[in-house]
Parts: sequence; structure tokens; C-alpha cells
Amino acid sequence: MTTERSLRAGRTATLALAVLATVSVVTDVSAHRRDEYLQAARISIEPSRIEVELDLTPGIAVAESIIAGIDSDRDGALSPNEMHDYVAQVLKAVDLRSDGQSLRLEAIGWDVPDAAALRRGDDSIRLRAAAPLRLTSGSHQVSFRNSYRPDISVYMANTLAPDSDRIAVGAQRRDPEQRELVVDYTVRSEAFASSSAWKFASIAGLLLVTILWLLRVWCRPACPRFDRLDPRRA
Amino acid sequence: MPSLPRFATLSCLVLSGIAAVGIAQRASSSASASPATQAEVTARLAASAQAVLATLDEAGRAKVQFPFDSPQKTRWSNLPSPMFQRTGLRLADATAAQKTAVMALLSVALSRDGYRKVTEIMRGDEMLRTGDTSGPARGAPNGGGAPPDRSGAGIAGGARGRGRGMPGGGGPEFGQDQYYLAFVGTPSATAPWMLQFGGHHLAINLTLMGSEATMAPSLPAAQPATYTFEGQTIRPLGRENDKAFGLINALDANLQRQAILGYRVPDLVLGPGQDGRSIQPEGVKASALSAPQQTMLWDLVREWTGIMNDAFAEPRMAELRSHLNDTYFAWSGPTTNGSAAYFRVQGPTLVIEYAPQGTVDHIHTIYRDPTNDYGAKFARR
Repeated sequence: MTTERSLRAGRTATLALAVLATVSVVTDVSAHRRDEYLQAARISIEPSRIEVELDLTPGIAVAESIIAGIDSDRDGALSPNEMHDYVAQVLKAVDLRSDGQSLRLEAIGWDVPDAAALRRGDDSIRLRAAAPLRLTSGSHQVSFRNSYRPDISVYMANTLAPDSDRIAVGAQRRDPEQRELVVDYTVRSEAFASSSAWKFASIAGLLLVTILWLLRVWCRPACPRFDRLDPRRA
Repeated sequence: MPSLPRFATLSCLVLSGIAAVGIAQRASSSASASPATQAEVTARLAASAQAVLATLDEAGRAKVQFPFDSPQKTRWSNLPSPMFQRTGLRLADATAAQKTAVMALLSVALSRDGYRKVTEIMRGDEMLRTGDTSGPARGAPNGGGAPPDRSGAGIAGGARGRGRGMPGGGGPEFGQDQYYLAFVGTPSATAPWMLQFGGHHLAINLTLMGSEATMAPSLPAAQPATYTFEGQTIRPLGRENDKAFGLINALDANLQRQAILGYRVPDLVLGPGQDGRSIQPEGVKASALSAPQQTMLWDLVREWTGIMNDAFAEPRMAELRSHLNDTYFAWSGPTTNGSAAYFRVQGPTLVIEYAPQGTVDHIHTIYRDPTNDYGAKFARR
């Protein structure tokens, strides 16, 4: 009689064979990342929060162990609840600090490919998390440290160019393995940002008025249209 | 003259002077190739694309053409099919006449060096498929120091491989026939459209709008990075590698210290999926380099910008040179040629990354313009 257990054992064996076949064929001809878990972080500093994007790409030789760590009910699929727990597990291993104060990262979304794509090593789990921040103008420092699965991982950590003109990123320091990134940055006051916009608008306005005045002065004898527009000649 | 008009005249002259300098700088960025020449190339490209379409029946045309604003624009990858599901005309499914038309189109879209690079990348993938270092079955274009054959005979007449896959099918497909052509938008001399050509380790995204063109983002990569074909050693990305090692070794200790990042970079930072994004630049500023070192840097950059037709590459290079003060060169890894080292050239409108995948024989690179990926800047004008 075929039991659930034997069916599961059969499925596992088939899966293992398929993974083995994939590993042997793919690595044979194309040395894509194989036995490493690539964790690529991008940090975005905004006036009101810090956002962290993390792309997690398992190599084909480690994918099965990563999937096993997510697929707690062992049904072969990665359910929303399982992903929720996994994302929490990953974020727990991420230490984010602003000016030395620990920040609590909250997941704001994630994309997960199907387990087959992860097993083939050709797709990534992409998660986004953010920590709110109330920044005052002046110099600040953010530090990021990723300690998730150091046994199999390679890391990247980069700072995205800020969208806000209030943020100016300064020096960046990393450890040799890019598990840790420390970023110095400056926050300009809102008044500075708005005064820059006013300066630009004022210069543009002055230029426009000057050109119109000159056209009026220089073209008066030759441009009948200007004469017609002059109310004193009406 | 009253004082107010005098002030106004003076202000206007000063402001006009500033405007004139700006306009002149802008004009100089497109001075190397006249707009007429660029428009002429676009017209030739549109005609070549229409020639490809003319070889297809209605079903074939439907398969290869996509609306300009469709998601197809951003659908590309370095991965082999079907690990990444591509759409368009696959060379393996094309007739000899269709393949010849496709390669003729590429020979217009790309420079002589660009065509050589693309065909050498494709041939490298054929090496992966066959595991044979002596090259494709017959008639492939020659490489190395010899002038590349732009007839497309090598690709058109090469082995018709269905790709090496996993038992039971569905595995990755390799080989010079596993490359796809797609048009996003209708090929035109004036309206916006895009030519996509790619497969394993290759993504060329050329967006055209009249006389303007951008090749951002594109991903030329190579595995094997060195192989032998007809007795010649072929290195599809060898010049990029050698020029970069040449530059890092031309820097004195102080400049090297600024250029070399103190950490390992295992992969592309702004690879597929990172369209329009930019990271905080690092490394040594191009403006800190001596004139000969700056020449070496631009010569290195030219390896990517120069993939597209010279008519488009020249104005692009002039534009990049105008950002000298905000351009950076960064390096990670050993400085002895033959080692696996990562490098990046980054400016306000440029990101180039060269990332060995753990070995010197497997290289990924990316070319981007964060302000103009897929012609975003053209569309805003």
C-alpha cells in the first residue's frame, strides 16, 4: 500500500535526482553561482526613513537547503505565511543603526519566485524593508550589518544615490566581505532645499523680464506688432 | 541710455553668454557626428529591420513585434533560455534567409568592433554547447586580430543546435542559435522604437528616436572568456580586461589607493532589473587623472559605447567626456593582469561594471545610462 510517507519519500528522491541532474548539467557548462548564497543589499536614505532592499540569490548547490528552511510544511511550495516567517528570520539578522541607535526594520514587501526557479539558481527572493526616521539637519551616520547565513553567503551592500536633494552622502566604509556598510551623510534643512528652488525661479524670472524689456526697447521702431501691443499708441 | 535699459542690456548679455556657453557645450556633444549622419543610420537601420520583417509571415511578425510601451522593453537577462523565457525570433527557428537578414541588421546597428564582440560572445556560447574548443561546425566569422566577417555567414550557416539541456528537456539551451531578435515599437526613421537582440550572456537593447540612439542598458558577457577558433585565441571581452588592467597599473600609489575599494565585489551591482538606478559613486575621480590616464579611461569606456554604430557612439563619448569632473573609476581585486578583478566606471549618465564570476573565464558586464535607460530621456523631450 502506498502511504503518504512513501509518496513523500518518492517525491523527495525524484526531486533530489532532478536537482543533482540540474547541478551536474548546468555547472558543467555554465559556472553560474553554485555553492554560495548571494545577498545584495541596497540602502536608500530618505529624509523620513531608511529603506533596505535585499536580493537573495541561492546558487543551485545551496538552493535546496534554503528552500527547506522556508518550506516548513514540506509541501514543495513557498506559501505567503512561510515567506512571512522567512523574511522575519532574515531581517532579524540585519542590524541597522542610525547615529548608533538601533532601528527596527519592518518588511514592506517581497517577491518570491516559484521554488523550481530558486532550485535552478536563476531567480532571487527580493525583499524590501524600512525603518522610520526623524532626521534633523546636520551630519549623521547609518550603519548596516547583515549576519544572515554567513556559512554560505557572499554579500554586497551599496548606497543608492539619494532622490532627495536634502540628503548628501559622504564617506562609505565596508568590511572586506561587504557584510557591513557604514555611511556618513548630511541632511540639509528644508529651507535650504526650498531656497535653492526659489533662487532658480528668481533667476529664470529675471531673465524672462530682461529679454522682454530688451525686445520692447530694441524692436519698437521695427516691430509693428509691439507698437500695436503698446497701449499708449492705441 | 537710461540706467535701467543699460542694466537690462548688461544682464541680458551676461545671461546670453552663459546660455551660449551651455548651448555650445551641448552642441559639442553632438559635433563629432552630424545629426544627418545619425538620422541616416537610423533610416538604414529601420530599412534593415523592415527587411527582416519582410522575410516573416504574419504569425512570425506578430511574434517579433511588440508595442513600444509594452513590458517587453525591460525583458532581458544574462541567463540562458529557458531559465529566462525570451520571446521574439529565435535564430534556431529562422530560415537561412531570415538569419542572414538578422545579421545584416546587426551589422548596421553595431560598429565593426561591436559586431565582432557580439558574434564572438555567441560563438563562445557555441563552445559551451559543444564543449569543443575547435569552434562551430562550419563557416563561422573569424575573430581575433582579423577583420570580422559582417556577412553573417558564420551565424547563418552555423550548427543548428537545439541546445544542450537536462535529461527530459527543459534545461538551459546554449549555442549560437539560441539568440532572439525582437522589435519594441515599429522600426522607423523618426518614431521611437527599440531593437532587442540577446540570449545567454548577451543583451543588446538599442533604442532609437530619429537621430538619437542609446544602447542603455546592455549586457555583454562571456563564457568562456578565452577560446581557440581556427587556430586563433579569441577573447570577446579581452580588450576591456587589458585596458582596465593597463589603467589601474598606470596610476601612481596615491591614485591607486583612491581607486581600489577595500572590499570584494562578487557580482554586478546594477545588473538586470536595476533600470534607471544609480549608486553613490566611489573610486578615483577622472579629473584627478593625468591627461594620458584620462585618455586610457575614455578608451576603456569606448569598449562599451563603441558597440553601437559609430554615428551614435561618437556623440555619446563627447557627452561622457563633458562629465569628467563627476566620473569615477573604481577597482576591486588584484592588479596583476590575469587575475579576476572587478571594476566600475560611473558618471552622472554612465554606469559600466565588469564583474568576473569567481573566475577569469566567466565575465559579466553591464552598460547603463541611469538617466536614459531605454531612451527615457528622449521620451521626456
